[in-house]
Amino acid sequence: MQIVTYKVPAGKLLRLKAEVENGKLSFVQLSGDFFLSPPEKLQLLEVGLLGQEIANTDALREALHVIVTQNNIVLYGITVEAIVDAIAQLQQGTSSAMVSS
Amino acid sequence: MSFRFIPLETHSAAMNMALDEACMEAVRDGLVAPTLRIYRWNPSAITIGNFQCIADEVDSAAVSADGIAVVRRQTGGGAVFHDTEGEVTYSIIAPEQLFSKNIAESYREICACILRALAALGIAAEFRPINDLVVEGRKISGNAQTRRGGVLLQHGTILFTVDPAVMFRYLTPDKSKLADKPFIKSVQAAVTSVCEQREITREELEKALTNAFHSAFPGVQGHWTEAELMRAAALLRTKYASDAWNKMR
Repeated sequence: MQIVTYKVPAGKLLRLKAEVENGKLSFVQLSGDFFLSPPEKLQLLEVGLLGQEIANTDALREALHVIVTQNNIVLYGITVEAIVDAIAQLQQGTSSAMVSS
Repeated sequence: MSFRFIPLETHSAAMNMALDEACMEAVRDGLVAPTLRIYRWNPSAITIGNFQCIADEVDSAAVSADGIAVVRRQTGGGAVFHDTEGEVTYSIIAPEQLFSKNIAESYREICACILRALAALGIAAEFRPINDLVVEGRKISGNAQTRRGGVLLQHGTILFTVDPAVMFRYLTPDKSKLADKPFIKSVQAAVTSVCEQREITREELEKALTNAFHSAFPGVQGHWTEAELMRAAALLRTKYASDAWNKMR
């Protein structure tokens, strides 16, 4: 399991716990002190990331935007870009990383 | 629209959260007026944000040793230690069209009441986006909001007294939370309290808060309905006192 702790610039804290197999996400958990409405839709983001290639940031961004738009998800203190940035930390092979800007 | 104001009550953490949710449902169904409540927590407890991982935020050995309950909120935001003697909490539960659709603006609208209450007590605080009130950069109030079924719930705490040594015996915030606050050297130094700023009583703080909310959201004193209390008791049992909810993440 890799853990990325990401302080969203001018936002809240995002903690990404993930497992990567053959360059693809096989487990994703997003947690932190951010706000998301409706709350139960967080799971849709996590499920939607499964199987995505962590190196393909465009595809990750697109997948997240589609889920957010189609489900009327409101993010506050966290952004799609922040989630993509956190996943990019996985790409670097770090077991724990923090990005502060 | 006239608000129902429920004066100071003290409950367990699970019951406080259950009452908020029961009230949200009643407001959604048009059974009660928009509601303001002020309350305290007994016994002292921790709440964590809806999207937080309990293991990441709380020292499980310390809370187990001291029998401190940890309850997941329906709102986002961070983990909070609610000291029975150390804070006053409010909830405002109302149709969301009474507030700005913009989340940041609605935080500002509601937090303005707390700022006025603190100003009346001689404390110059300011709103620090996203959801905090600070005095010279140190947090004195944290607030959290959710919207569901057309109803807005915002609750928040005002620190009356604070002992960082006790608070951070239980909470384990990530140091990266200070990444954009370079002037704050530690999480312990990141908080202040009403008592640290001014010598006043908790009753004075409660009165100032009540007055500030009343002037912004006029209404009359009221009480819970029997249906709300029954629903809250059910939510307490099935949700806020359950591991399935509290340890969901």
